[in-house]
Amino acid sequence: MLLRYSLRNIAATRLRFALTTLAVVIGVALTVGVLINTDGLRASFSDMAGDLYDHIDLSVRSQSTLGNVDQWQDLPLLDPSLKDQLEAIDGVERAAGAVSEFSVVAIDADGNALDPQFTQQAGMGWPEDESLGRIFPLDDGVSRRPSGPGEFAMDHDTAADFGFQIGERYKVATPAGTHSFELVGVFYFLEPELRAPFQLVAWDMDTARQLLHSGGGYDLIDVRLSPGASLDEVTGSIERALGPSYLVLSQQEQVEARDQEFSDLLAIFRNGLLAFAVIVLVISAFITYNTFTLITGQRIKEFGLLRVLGADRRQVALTVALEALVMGAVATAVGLGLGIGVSRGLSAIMEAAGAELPMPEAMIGGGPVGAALALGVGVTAVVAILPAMRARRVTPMVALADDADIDPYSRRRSIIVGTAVGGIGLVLLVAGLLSDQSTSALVLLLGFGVLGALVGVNICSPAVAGPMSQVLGWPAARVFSLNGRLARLNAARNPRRTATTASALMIGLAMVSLVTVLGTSFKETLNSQLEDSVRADWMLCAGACDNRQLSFSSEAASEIARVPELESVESFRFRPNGVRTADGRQHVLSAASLASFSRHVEPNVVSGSLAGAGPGDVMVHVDAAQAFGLGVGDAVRLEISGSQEVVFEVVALHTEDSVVGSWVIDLGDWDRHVVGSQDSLVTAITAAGVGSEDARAALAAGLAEFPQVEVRNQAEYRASRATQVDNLLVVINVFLIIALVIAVMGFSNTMALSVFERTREIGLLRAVGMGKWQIRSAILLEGVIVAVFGGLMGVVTGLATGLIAAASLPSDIISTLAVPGSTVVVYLVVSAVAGLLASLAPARRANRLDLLEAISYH
Amino acid sequence: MSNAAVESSEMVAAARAVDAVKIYGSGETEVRALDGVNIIFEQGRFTAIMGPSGSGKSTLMQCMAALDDLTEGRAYIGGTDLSTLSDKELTRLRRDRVGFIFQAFNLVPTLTAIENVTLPLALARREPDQQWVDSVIATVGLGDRLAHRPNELSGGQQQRVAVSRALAAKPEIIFADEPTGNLDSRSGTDVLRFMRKAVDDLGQTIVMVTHDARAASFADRVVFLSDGSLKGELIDPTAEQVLDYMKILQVGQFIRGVPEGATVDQILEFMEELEE
Repeated sequence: MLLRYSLRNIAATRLRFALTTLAVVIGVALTVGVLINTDGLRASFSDMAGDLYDHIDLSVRSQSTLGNVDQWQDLPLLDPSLKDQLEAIDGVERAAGAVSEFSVVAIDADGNALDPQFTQQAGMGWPEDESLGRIFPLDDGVSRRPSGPGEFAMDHDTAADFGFQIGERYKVATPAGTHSFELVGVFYFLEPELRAPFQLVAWDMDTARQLLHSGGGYDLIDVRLSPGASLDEVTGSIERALGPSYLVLSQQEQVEARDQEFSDLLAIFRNGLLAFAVIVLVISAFITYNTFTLITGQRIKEFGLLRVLGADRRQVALTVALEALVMGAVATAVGLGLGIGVSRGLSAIMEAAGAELPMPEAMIGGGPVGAALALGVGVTAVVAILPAMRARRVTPMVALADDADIDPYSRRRSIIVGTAVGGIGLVLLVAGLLSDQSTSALVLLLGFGVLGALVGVNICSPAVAGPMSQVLGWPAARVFSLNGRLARLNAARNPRRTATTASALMIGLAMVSLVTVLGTSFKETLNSQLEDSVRADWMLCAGACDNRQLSFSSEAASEIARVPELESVESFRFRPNGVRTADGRQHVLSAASLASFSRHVEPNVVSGSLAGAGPGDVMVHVDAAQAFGLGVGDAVRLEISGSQEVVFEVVALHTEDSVVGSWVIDLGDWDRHVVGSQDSLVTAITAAGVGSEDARAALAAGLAEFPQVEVRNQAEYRASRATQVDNLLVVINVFLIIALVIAVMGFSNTMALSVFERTREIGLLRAVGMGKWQIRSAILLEGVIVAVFGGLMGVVTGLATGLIAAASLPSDIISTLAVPGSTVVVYLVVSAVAGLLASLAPARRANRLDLLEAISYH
Repeated sequence: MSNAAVESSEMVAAARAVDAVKIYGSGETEVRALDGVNIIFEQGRFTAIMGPSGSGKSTLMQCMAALDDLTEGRAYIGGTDLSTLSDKELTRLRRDRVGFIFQAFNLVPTLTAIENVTLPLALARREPDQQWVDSVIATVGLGDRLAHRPNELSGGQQQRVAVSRALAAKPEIIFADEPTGNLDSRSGTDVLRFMRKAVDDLGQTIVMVTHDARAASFADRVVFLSDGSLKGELIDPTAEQVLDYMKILQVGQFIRGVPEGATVDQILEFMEELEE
């Protein structure tokens, strides 16, 4: 019966219920969509990892001290003679070397380098034994295997996408410079008919070794066992034969390592998306809470009646809880269904953006279902606690009492409680500001701080809703006379109702402002750091400058060093996870000519000096130096590129890290210790007396063989780096728009409830002769006043918490605070318009009321 | 009736109040709504509580129906002293032993008529005695409206649903608060007839608060309340008798020499003395 009662209540308020549920549904759907999508991606990647090592029993590579098994790209190369040595071992049927390198770029017939956006460009050696390789030649009657230094092959899809023709000659940019080859065939990678995850080119093994490794050895050697040979025994024999400087990996180990790598990568992506799904959920929770509070407030006499009829406190609370549970269950089910759509949408967006990802299969595992249940039911349950407790306190006498004294609002109490909760939030925020926490702890601290502040402001807002409405309503009262005054009065008269209605927008805009402050500050920080540090006139990158992994042949730098219009050229190299410190964590390894690069990029040395620095020296960012207790002159032991431990002397401490990073060694050491000598960034200074257009033309001519390298001046470089942030902001804005839509929806919902509460009053106004359009304009104006009130509260709260959060974040993430002034104005205008739009339906409804019925309504 | 008499007549009392005092507010705003009321409501009888607005009649009923508590004195339902009950026990008492009829019907708008009737049983998790419910519904004459929602029923029909709701759980006693206050006289008469019938045919005990003399005339007994204390009572009265009693109470206050708070009998006595 109680359940039926709750269901009837839901049925009686279908629209309101649906709107409120929709808010939760969107939050659930986003979260579930992200989970389903990333689960699917992970499964697809897993399959791919399986394919990658499908028929390879064992692989041998150089021993790495850098834990990460997959970093074979950076390891010391294997001498080709090792292959024969392996084949001599009992139980080894076949051994075949493999060679590959990233940032190998094919150049199309028009002389344009293929766009590397969202994919990897790699070159590789054609397997010496195809049964031990990952390449599947296409049996199209035309394709054949590349052979000799003048031929190459490409993966089928890249060739098709970019119009490469078999039999034509094309240039390919390699670490050994750009050379011309004849395209003799296309192939599939990993699996026939599978779209390759990279843009791939391949040469015969000898040519590949020349081009990719300067004639050096293999990256690794794959091994197939003789039939019947024991994996463990053979592994043991190989390990004994080769000694400790080599590592033998089973198929399973390699697949797991790949899997782990993909998972780690995916986790970053997933967490970013989830963060915004959580923001949307928080907004939904607030809206749901407000609706529940209003609904239970309106039914309080009914609760009293139930008590008279013999319901105990628990039963009354249960009716509210049941409604919440039904809402939660519906939200879960619908959210789960929509989540599949969201997942597809995410894939479509990524595909549209050019990401060559394997299409994830729509698989719904326990994770997403659990999350949907926890969020859908959890959020509504948590949100229903306070209203249910309020229903629980209702006494039977309420059924008989007059409306006015049922639930007196205590201004004092709301200020005290609100200030207390907001204070806790503020304390957490300040704690975040002052403390020196790890980033994840900090984010948690700030997250709860922001939440506390929002809840506090939400509780306090009825206390200021009255006076604020008076102030905000002043123009309306001036311009629209009676209707305006009525609107102003209505907004100010019942502060709790006004605050409740406004709070949906408040929360929404607070979140939006908060994120905008963080995003703008982040962007501004990067921009000012670059403005501060970049001295060179020209910055050369492969593609956009936002990707440190893209590199190009050092031939390019040599080429432009000969250009007379330039007086100085510097090379910079970066390797993500290229250096491991004593604490076991990996960081970006950077290299430059220590003694000379500061003319091009100012490292802001705060202690020590780069004068005379060279091989054996390292420049360390002050934060990193502080973390490891390093000072100028100290020796530091670093693991470089997975191969060896090298002792460096700290010669300088710097503060710049938007270009050079935290650990900077000399190019000489890079060449000695790191495999692969491509540059990631080349900078140049125009010679005295040469105009910038002339210099640019000269650069372009000098780089004719390197079409993947783009030339940028300082401003263009900064803009290019900023696109990285902009891309992030676009994703964020999509989520924020969703959040705003939910907020406006919630506002409309509560506005409708608030008008509904006044049915009788509106009837009276009509009865004493107020016209329909007067009623409508009064309600619309009230909506605008309430919305601007909510918007203002939200923007102020969001800006304040956002600034504190921005100031709390480490200075390498955000050091410059920026308030997006014009955006704030836009938000307020949006609130006003939203208020107007959201009030249209309630205003129409108020006018549709039957006059007599309205008066006799109770 | 003396205090001792109230204390001793437990056997036939469906409910009683002993020295009942109810004070609202404090200090200057203090209102003594009940000022030492002693009264017994007998089983199987239809009692009306009459009195002008502010006489304390609703307060008396609310305190006796376990909706509100007394400031002093005691209220009993059967042999149970309400002041000794916890909130849980009060809930159980309301659910199992007391029925209630409101002036404003107070049906749950989202439930149908029959669901409203059986709601107290559902709240008590009791299986409805179908035969009993059927006979109640037959008595009240709701047969064809059972599947309708309250807003599809007339005021009289709604109140009949409310009466059925009170009857369905077979409570020891039903309290009705101005049950005809929101009805036109024809519907009101209908409802009163049903209440009368419930007492006569079903043996129900009903206590009704009203300020309508005609409504009170349906009762077996009418007690008069004014300024928080009992001023007299009539057995099997006609509407005219009730009106006369009310007039005497009101007029009595303005006759010089009548003591403050005098009962109807005292006023009549005084007036007889004056005539002599």
